[in-house]
Amino acid sequence: MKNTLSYSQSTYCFSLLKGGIPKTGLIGIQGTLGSGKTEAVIQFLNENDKLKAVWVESEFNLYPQALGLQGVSLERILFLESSWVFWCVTQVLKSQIFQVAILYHDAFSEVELRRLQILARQTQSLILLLQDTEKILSQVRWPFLLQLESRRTQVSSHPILNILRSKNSELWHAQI
Amino acid sequence: MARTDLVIGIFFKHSIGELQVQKIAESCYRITPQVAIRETQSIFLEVSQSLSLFTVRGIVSRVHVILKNYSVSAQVYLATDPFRCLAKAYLSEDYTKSQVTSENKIQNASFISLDDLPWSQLPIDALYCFFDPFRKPHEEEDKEIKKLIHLMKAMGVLNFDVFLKIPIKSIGSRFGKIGLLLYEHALGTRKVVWQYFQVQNQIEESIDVDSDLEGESLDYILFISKSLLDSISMRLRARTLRVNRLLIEFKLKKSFLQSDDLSSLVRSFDFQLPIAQGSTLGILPIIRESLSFYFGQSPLLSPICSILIRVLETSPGHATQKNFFHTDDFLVEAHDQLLNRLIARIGKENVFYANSVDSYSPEKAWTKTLCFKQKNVQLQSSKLKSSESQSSFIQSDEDSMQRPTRILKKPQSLEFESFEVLYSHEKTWRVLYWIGPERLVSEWWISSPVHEVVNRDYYQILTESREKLWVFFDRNFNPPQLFLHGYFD
Repeated sequence: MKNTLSYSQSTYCFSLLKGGIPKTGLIGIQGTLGSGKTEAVIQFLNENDKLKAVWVESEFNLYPQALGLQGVSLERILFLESSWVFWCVTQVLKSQIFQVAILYHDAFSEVELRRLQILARQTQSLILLLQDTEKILSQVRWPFLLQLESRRTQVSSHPILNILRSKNSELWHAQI
Repeated sequence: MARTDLVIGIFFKHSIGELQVQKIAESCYRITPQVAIRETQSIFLEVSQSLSLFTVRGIVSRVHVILKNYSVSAQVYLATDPFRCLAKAYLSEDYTKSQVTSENKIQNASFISLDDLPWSQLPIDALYCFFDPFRKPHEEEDKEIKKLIHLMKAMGVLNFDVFLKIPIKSIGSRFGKIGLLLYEHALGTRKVVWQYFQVQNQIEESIDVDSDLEGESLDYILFISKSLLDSISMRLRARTLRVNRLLIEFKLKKSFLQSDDLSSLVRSFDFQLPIAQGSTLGILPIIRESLSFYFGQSPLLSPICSILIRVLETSPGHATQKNFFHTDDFLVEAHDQLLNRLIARIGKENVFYANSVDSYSPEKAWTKTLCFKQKNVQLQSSKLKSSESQSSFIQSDEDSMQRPTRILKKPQSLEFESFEVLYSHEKTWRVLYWIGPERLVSEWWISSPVHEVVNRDYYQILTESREKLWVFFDRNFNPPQLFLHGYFD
């Protein structure tokens, strides 16, 4: 009970995940292209309208207008396109200006994931790593605090998040 | 209530160059625009009007920081006018001893603590300081003043109390024109006119480097450059400017070079900062990144013997004082520094904020920007809907106005045989149902090539594998051709 309370104080609210999303740590969201990973993140940003985020992609194909249409203020999101994703996110999070980093990159090695995990802890920030299931080279799971999978049931509904793995599974329950 | 005048005098213990004095005075420009230089000896700041911005203690601390940055030792004195400030300095032991070579040393001046001494008890030797605080007297004037002081001593006028009791009517006849001037200055009836202080046109700093051992190492060069950048930052801040473009020039030691080519003796680097910077903390990381890249490509062939940094372009800086009770100012500065670092490494086109734009074409509905201007843009998509019913599983509802989260840079052609199955060159989708259409037609009144005119019927489709796609029939073709344009990822 004591554990749950302390976690609830250090989480961001997120309607797709009961218990919210932890404020610090590396969280993976995976799914096929079109499964709703990005929509889930947009909803998270929409529900936490004070957060400043950086969105880093190695090949930028995000459509920023979709964020604006879903109520996310574009003013608080810095977009970066670079193959040096790790360097970019390190610079941004160490500046302490942005609380959340959203990365769309499939080619992270296990060592890099571990570094991201440490970076998130050092800078007290949240890193959301979006990965395309079809492109993930190896299933590295241990550096993730929480690993989620997005999927859809109907066209008009929001995507659903399933918990694949969590370091403390009792604390989070997927919203179904 | 009239505010008392307050003057701060900075008196250098050792003679420093005229240029150095000018730079220090320029750095003090931030505190007050009323700055005057007495040749290479001292700087005066009239700060009474600045007291609504700074405290006296704050001003003195700032002056000490500036002096420390230039590695100059000086005495700082406060008084109600520059004459008294000068008198304080000349009568103090430290300063007078350090100026033993000065021709204008007050002869036989007794070293006293002026803080406790009333002005009326000031020794008559101090009258020398009441001629002109901003310049040394000429040779003839100097002789005349000294002669006058000698005469007064002989007459028993040993301090200001006695001197100022002499009726003004008899001063002219007894001591002449200079005597009257000194009397009025001492009495405070004649105010001194402050000179117009003009800052230098160009901001540049240079330093000679002695070390042969470390002259090629980047860390050493950055260490040296930092002190130059500190001085430049101070001068920029004083003018409320920030730097946009910077030139760094390294002169190499000739003796270490194998070729006789003189052009290889100087290496210059032109730094264009995408966002103007006002502090060393912002500029130094960019210089470090760039120099490490350049030196990696083409190392220095010899140790450096001098570094010159010149400001080539500036833009207006933050004029206001920082708010110590709110972190916004610091965040803005840190944000600008971050953007500069990112741009220096990954390029200007890859660091951006997104800005919505009024356009019917989805590709042109947003632009990249660095300076975000909030603009409430309503998506003005055409609401024309096809009246013809395509098939039983085509739906038309509010969802048809949604936009995908991912968009392809170039729409991908799809093979369309039926509404149930779609083929691309790499994948096959079995479709559960379609939503739409949403017809988007670009600005027909703007003449553009036919292939650039948007004339599309967009649909959202859900596949059996639960992927949501954004496809369109391009009506520029006959029959209309199907393209995949994005994903609702």
